[in-house]
Amino acid sequence: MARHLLDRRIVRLPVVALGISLLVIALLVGASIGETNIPFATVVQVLAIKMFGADYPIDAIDQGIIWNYRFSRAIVAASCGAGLGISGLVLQTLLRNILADPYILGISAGASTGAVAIAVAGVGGGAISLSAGAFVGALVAFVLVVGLSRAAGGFASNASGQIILAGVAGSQLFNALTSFIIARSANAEQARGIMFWLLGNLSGVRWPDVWLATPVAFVVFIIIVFHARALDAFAFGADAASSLGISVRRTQIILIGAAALVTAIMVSIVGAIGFVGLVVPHAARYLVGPRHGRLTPATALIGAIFLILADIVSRIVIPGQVMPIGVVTALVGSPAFAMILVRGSRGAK
Amino acid sequence: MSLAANNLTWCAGRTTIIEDITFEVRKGEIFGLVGPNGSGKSTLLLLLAGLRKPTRGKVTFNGVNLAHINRRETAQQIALVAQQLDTTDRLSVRETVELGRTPWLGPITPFGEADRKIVEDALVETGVAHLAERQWQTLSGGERQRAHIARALAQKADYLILDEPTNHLDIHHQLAILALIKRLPITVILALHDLNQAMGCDRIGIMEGGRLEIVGSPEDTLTAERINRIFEVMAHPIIDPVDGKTILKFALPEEKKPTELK
Repeated sequence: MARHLLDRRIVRLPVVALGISLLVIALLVGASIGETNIPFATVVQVLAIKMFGADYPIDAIDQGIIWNYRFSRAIVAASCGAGLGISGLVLQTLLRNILADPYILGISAGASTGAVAIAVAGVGGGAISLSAGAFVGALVAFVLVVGLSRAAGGFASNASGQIILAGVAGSQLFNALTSFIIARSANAEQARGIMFWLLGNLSGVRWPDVWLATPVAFVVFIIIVFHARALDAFAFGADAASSLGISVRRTQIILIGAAALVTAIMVSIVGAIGFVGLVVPHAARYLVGPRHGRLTPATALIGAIFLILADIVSRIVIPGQVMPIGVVTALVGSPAFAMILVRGSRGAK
Repeated sequence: MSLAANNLTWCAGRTTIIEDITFEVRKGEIFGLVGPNGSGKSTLLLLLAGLRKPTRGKVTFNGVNLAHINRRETAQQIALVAQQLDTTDRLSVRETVELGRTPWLGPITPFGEADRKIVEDALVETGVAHLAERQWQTLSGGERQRAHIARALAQKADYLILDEPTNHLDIHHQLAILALIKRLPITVILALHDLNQAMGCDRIGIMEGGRLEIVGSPEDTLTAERINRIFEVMAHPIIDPVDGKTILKFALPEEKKPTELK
């Protein structure tokens, strides 16, 4: 029986409310835990002061830590998790590949190269922003990877191995290009900073990053929700979607463009964080089933919560040191990747 | 109302798959396409559904070039069940059939009571209502085929294009699907392998090597001589003692003796 954990017959509203409550709690926990733990109640009071002009006697330093560092960081983590999650979801659906994810397909690597080319090599002479460079890099990487997989697999619609292999090749190429640019143009201090950033790092995140990450994640989310029916129609492949009245090419361009955009923006802010786009959509599918009308919000919520938690873990796992968040997501993601691979190959038979 | 091919040619790279095909499907008829493997039946059906761009020539729908009609409007008029459609998504049969409503729903239109009724009717008509909540991966090939036909029916199109719909089906369901097709008040174009099943069509087109050899009634076109030439089998018409209808019995041509090969 096709029963998902949260079946449609269970009233939907409480589920949505529950999800949003969990997200809010995760944001508060994210602002509360850190090198110095600040009580939950204080966190809520600081937010009340900052957002609603409430009046509580709280130390200015604590206020600064919570509001300027931790809360902005938690919001960026949430936006990033949601963005990477829905980006992976779109890629999995449109490429009909359960292992598709912006990191595995080399899109994140391409975005990194683009960002580094702007920031370190000075491409564009300051006229192009870091994010725009990352976006171009992401698109170039995607076109290259898909082109390579097409060339390798002909036009077989189910050549699922080819695109992953092409992604491996693309990732290697763009990571090599990134290293090349760094080796050529960066000094030792810069190089160390960039390497740390490339592994995924939320340390330097402040409010201006929120104003970039959150609107982009939100707009891309709306675009995908708007295309939920079109994405559903891809269940049996592009031809079937077309026979159901979907303009396949237009849908692919809009949605893959949106996925590349959100990936690029997140990479330009926090570096290449892997496996979120792979694992989160599968977890969401397990909970709410394969229809995109519900799957997209579920993926965004789970991605947001997952990355806030991963960020907390990255801050507290080694006392006094911050571990790159990409390490945490990879430690969770790799076993999940293996599991999906094994289960997927069984399911395909 | 008509769907027509005009000098239709389609090439995959340098290989010509379909060459210079012209014919018209009449409103309300059941039009069968027969021909050996690789004769271009599936490609012709994809072209008629507007899923491939003709290399030369055109498909017209009510006189309008199909390439100039947008996908959504086309899908409201023409439904297609291609071969070997599969998914890794854990969809139920009902969810699959609900996809048939896609061309009629906007991005934020809710799935209404009328849509639900259409889906329910399609499930009943194709005999898969008892499987409605079953997950796709648990279905047999025949059950999947019927679910796809139900999905196409839910599309409520005036034209239904089926690529070998009786494939994978046991004999009961083969006959049930053919009977369903006859009952439907719409135009059906289908590719068939079984020439005796093709005898039940209003008209048929016989394809060979990417060309349309002839179009006409099954009795006029499926002659023993033509079957021998195109399918490389001997066909013997036999009269069914029950209903007096002609059925075809097939045999391989007698092997040529080694002396004749010299």
